[in-house]
Amino acid sequence: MSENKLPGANSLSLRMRKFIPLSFFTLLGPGLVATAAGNDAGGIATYAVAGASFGLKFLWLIIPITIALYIVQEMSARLGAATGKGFSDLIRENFDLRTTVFMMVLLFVANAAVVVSNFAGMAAAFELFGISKYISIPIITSVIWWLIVKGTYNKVEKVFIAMSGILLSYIIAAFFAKPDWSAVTRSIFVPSFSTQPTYLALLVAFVGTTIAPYMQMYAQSAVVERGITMKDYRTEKIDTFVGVFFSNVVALFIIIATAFTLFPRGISIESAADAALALSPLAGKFAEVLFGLGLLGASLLASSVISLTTAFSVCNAFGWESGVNRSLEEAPIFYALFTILIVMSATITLTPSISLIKLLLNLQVLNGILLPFELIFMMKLINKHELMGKHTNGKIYNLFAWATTIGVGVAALLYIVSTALAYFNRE
Amino acid sequence: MEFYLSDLLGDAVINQSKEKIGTVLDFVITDISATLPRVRGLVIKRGINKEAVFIPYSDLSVISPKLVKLTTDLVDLTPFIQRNDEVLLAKDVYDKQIVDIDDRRLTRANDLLLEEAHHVLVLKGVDVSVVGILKRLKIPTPANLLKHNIIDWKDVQFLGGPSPMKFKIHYKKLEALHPVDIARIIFEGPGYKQGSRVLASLQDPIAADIIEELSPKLQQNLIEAMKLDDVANVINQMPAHKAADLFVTLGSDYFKKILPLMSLAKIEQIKSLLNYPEFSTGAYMTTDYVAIPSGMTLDQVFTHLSKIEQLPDFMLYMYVLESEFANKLVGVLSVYELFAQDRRSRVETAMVKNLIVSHPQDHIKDSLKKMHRYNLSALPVISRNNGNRLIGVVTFRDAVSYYLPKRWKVRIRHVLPILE
Repeated sequence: MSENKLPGANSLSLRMRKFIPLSFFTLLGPGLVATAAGNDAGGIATYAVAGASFGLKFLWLIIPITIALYIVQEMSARLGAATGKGFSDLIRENFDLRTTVFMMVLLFVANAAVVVSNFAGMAAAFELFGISKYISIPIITSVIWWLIVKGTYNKVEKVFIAMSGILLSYIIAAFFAKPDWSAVTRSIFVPSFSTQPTYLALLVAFVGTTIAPYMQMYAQSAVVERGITMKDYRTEKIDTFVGVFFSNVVALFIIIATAFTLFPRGISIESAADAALALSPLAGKFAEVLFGLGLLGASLLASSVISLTTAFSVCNAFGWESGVNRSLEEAPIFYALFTILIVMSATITLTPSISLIKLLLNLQVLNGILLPFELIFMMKLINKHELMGKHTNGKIYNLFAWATTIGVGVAALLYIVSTALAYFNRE
Repeated sequence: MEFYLSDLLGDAVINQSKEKIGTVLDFVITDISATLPRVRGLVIKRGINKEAVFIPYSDLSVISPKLVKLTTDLVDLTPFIQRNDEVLLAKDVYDKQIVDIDDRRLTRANDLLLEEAHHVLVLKGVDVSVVGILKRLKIPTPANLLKHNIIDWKDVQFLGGPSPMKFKIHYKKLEALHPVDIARIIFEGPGYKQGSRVLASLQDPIAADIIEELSPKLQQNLIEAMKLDDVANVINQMPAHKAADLFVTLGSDYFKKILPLMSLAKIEQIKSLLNYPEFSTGAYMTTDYVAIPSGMTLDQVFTHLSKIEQLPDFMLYMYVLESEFANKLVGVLSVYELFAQDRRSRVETAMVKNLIVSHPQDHIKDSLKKMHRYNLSALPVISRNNGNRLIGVVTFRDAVSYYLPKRWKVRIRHVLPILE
């Protein structure tokens, strides 16, 4: 090690800067990034399918889910600012070992689902360009692994961010589709509901992809990493709000765009090409290229960041060395977890005759089912007086936070019950 | 006999008349910073109410993973309340972050290894392995596939955990590490709150070194979480120019609060440093240098250097003053000359008398040009109107920072780990 040979050369590495790229933090606040990253392959697929299959019937969800997402993201940021610790550290130090292992397995599964869905997103994007997934996925997996392990990821990340920015074209496409704005406004404020299993599945997927557990882990780690304390928490709250708002505006316009292009023509989304059709009022024959590039960028970004965040958090809970500035020999478990995540995702994506869009949706449903468990532990932590001091939830805030937790729990339960009933009825 | 803590927790406790009176809940230690901390007693859970009561270790006749036996039937039934000097192994050490001193890294206590010999039970080491976790979860593992990884307690620094209990912890083991490593550990591990507690307990000169290694944001967080007295002590130990940088980071409000607690000499030094305009040589100079009187022999210089507790970062040149009492600069002695010349000769004859100097009001660019032109690594900074009074030294490294982006210090911190 050269540390001792560099007198006065101050080489303090900031905790997560090891792997969460700098550009992320300098360009945008962590709250913004965490939630904007929520619009990954799973999010795009879910919102597009929601609009294509049910028209405007999901729009009423936008306002309540924005509030819920804000509450959850704000609590994560507050946990980080008040304790200076990440979520997995807090779990290990405040609950028994069994709970820690349970939570880590749960978070690993939930995040793995997101990584898999982003690999599916990449495969779908390449298929739009006429490249078979059997060629694209093995290559892209090796490239991601190499970029991360060799530490050159930071250089290409801006490219990924720029590419995923293309998806903002959905907002313009929504206007080009000449939507009936009064119907849109009505649908936002008047709830419509259905007990159809497909509707419920989509509802849970909607919740699961919008309030994905990794977003909370990421937001909390980012707050800790940037050294934000309760003193400068006010700006952090604004950052969180802007991020949440922005992310759901994009979701809103994806639904509007698909609801007025695909839904009237009865096109339910079976492949990425169908989802790209919604951009055709804007881009015409270039719709597929536009959508493909955006999807590819978003998927590349999300799969790299989420697989690293997951490996990092799990290692922290168990006291194993982690971070990309450690070598393979220094942090074997960290790299093993990371490798397992991406190789497993590649393998699942390569399964023959699997529908990538169905896979994407089902994985968001899984996230939605696991979410309530994570929220319960988050609620326990945030209301623990000896941990948070005077920064525990206020009475009314707590009411809303519990309502969110129970709300996502009920949605997940309804889905499970309706699926089980449908299954038994078929028998 | 060696036991893992996980084997003992929940054990049945039997009294002399062989009645079960409860189960083992925890172990009490009072000298947690020792090489082999001794278990003072047990906390057991008894009765239907599951009350916690204390049993001194001397009352035990048998301790084994199967059962714990007492030598008496008399148990003090006063409910156990943890005192400030008591550390509970299961509550305060299990699962918490510890520092592995040999490997200079943070890890977690997955299990604890205890050793019993001659009626004394000591904390011998920490199991940081995966097996340690699996064992506690009662998941059987093939013995030869995975191994326990025990770190001796003598090589472990206990950080105290997030517990609100304020144990007295000695950080002697941690202090042995390089300040850069300690800074990294404090930052990566316990978060700013607990980190400030660790920092406040370290010896002041070490704490001063560590603070210098931290990013401005973290300096701010840690220092604002520390008590004012502790901060004042630490700052008194810093070279003035670094203390001045720190005050710029902390802001003038904090500066006012801490001023009454600091030594007057330090305040004067800092104030005068902060008075120089931006981009003037004075704003970049350091006051941390070696000055020697011209009358010394080189031999005496060696002795003098060996007595300085903390040598400055920059040591290439020593600055020769007219006498011990007058601050008038008369020459510069380079380290090369110190070694090359006869030890008996006087500084006056070995030093360079043709002085290339800078003034505090000079633009830093001009000082840098001068260093470049004369091929020097540093320039003495002398006051323009007050004879040749030496007030500081500007080094090439500090001067060059003028050309680096504004937040260069922060940036360098990010770049270096990648270079390493």
